[in-house]
Amino acid sequence: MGMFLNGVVLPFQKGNAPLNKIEDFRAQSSVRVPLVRLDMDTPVPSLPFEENASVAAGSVLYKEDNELPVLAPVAGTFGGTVVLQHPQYGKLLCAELIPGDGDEETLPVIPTEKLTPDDIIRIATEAAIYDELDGVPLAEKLACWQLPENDVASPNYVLVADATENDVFGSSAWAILDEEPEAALLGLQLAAKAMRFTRYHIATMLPKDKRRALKRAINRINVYTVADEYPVTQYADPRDEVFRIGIQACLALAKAVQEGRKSLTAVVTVAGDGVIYSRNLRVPYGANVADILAACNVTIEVDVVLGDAMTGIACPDTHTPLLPGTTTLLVMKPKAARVPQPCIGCGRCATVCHAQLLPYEIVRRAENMHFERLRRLTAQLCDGCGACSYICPADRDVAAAVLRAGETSGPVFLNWGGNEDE
Amino acid sequence: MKMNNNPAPHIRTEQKSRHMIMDVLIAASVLYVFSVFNYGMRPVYIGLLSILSSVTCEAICCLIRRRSLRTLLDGSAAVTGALIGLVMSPMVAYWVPMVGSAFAVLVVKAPFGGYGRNVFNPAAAGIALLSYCTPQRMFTYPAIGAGMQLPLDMELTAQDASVGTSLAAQIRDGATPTVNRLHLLLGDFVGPIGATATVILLACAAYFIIRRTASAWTILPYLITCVLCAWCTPCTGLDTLHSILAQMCAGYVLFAGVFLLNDPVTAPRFWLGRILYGVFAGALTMLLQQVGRMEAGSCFAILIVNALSPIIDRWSYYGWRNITRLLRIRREVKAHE
Repeated sequence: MGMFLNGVVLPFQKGNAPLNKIEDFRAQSSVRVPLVRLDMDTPVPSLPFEENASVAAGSVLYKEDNELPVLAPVAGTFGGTVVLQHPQYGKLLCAELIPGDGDEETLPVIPTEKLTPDDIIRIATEAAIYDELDGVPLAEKLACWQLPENDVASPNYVLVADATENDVFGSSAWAILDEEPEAALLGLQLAAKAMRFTRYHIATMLPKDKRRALKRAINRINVYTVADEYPVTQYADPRDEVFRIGIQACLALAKAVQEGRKSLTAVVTVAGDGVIYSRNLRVPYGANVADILAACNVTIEVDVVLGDAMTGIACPDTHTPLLPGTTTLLVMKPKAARVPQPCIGCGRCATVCHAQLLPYEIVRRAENMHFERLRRLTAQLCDGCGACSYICPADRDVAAAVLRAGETSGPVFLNWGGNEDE
Repeated sequence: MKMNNNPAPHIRTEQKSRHMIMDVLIAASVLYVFSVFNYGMRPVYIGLLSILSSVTCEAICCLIRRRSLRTLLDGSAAVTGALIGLVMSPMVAYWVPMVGSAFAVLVVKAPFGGYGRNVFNPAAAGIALLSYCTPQRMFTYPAIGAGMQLPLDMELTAQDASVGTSLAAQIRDGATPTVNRLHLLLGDFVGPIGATATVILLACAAYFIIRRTASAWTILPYLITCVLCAWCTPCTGLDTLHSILAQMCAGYVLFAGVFLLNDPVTAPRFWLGRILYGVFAGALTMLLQQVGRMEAGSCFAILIVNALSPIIDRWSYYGWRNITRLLRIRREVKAHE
């Protein structure tokens, strides 16, 4: 079946970024850390800091029950709170920090042998580690997937550290595997220990020379090479059940356990045709996108995308903080607006769909409001990878339309007109 | 600051629909160039007038529907005209392809919503109309081989030029085709302007498949089915290979498979549906070639399968999905045991 239903092979545009070292980025103007998402009835929390109080890096700004603590990513002074609209997370109440000099708070270090699985999850919580794949707290994933004590792990369960960077521009995972492969592997081992898994590996999509160097640095059985296509559908053998965490989260877990360092930064690739050359920056969470652009000498008018080319979200305001879950900042020269043409029925969207959907048929039925016929096409299985939109020769936003159709094909909508369920 | 607010993905593939249409126009122009060597400039004028007619009609439709005239630039109307011109007899009166193109655009394409929404292939419908209404003009071909330079400015009838019997007519009437294999491959036999050049048509098919303008899932099943049908119904007095080749070259069989069948708008989109569509079209084409009175049997066959293509598409998809699901469940059950 793989012969017929494949992803797309994307152009290689990672440029020089994976060849160079990760550069450190110092926040200049301000760092904004989200405290809570503001809904209709969220009470505004009170903070233990006065305005202009000095804050150490890694100190806890705010803590809600059963949530990760909100840490100060940089040392500096507390500049009050602001409300801002984030394109990814909506309306956020943020604490504003003015970067300055100061110490970094650390966690007590426990020898690795003495750690129990619950210790590791506690450290992941206290170090405020987020999974960069989806912005979910790592501790949440570990606790959710943890096998009960005395349970024999299924031989098919495998924990995968995703370092594929299968998108067009991103290369942060490649840079991390270049610089600290042992630490990343140690983090993965710790995560596997926390989940009581016996099998784990790092999934990569590296060019040949880098793959060789990686296999020299760490045991080659811990490296799994995925097929060069987008999206990746096989992170392990087809029989295995895959549990996936990000490589940056693994690295942060290793640092938290070994050195007691909290997770305050993310490695972010700044790439696209709007920058002179692409690079990987170690950016504190909450750093201003405009600051990052200035550090990359972007002076022309550009379009900024939070995330990579295939799934990134356009960022209309550059005074937006960079939050966990983003590992690529795409800087593009402004282009003329796309004009969607009529669907010519080439069927390529169905060929590239890894979920084996018929995107053209879903879009057509949704456009014609045949919602009762939409359900058989299972549009809700779409994960929005965007391969269909990429391949569409008529420039249509297929993936966005399929996602919309998936949302509207629920039972509530169906009961309006049809009598299928009655 | 004006900011881009497009949904992801933020890069797109370089191959656009207009490139696919350009590919078809390029392939058609090669066939026109070939016909110049056989018949002089007359086929080119036929093609140009046909394109002029279809583009004019498309422009009228755009004005009626208050669309921008820029939609003409996608070239779909020109393709319709060019394809209709290619299956004309070289001696046909100039107004015949123009009427066919106008019918294709005004009746078959525009009322359904224009390019991308038409149910039937406009070119096939235009050809079908002409072959039904003016078979005398459509199927009267000049005998080839005299280095014929057809006069441009006069309407030709059966009395004027030396008239030959087309290959399709010979096969249909049960006679032994008189064309040898080399001439069949080189297109040196009596027939329409562009539908006789066997080697060029096959090269066009390869070009479309390589450029991904057309799907191999349609062309190959169609051709294989046609070959199998031809093998089952041999011509009298020819060996098997020669008979198959003659039947494949007769009428519009090859031309329809390469140009008309592959119109993505009217074909199924799912790969299994495409295979079934190709097989069905091939079988129907050969049936109509055998029993029909028209040489344009393949056009009628394509119109019939066009009508069925949404059903073929849907059923093949659901069938395939259910089969794979069953297989997966069985595999999981086995793994569980």
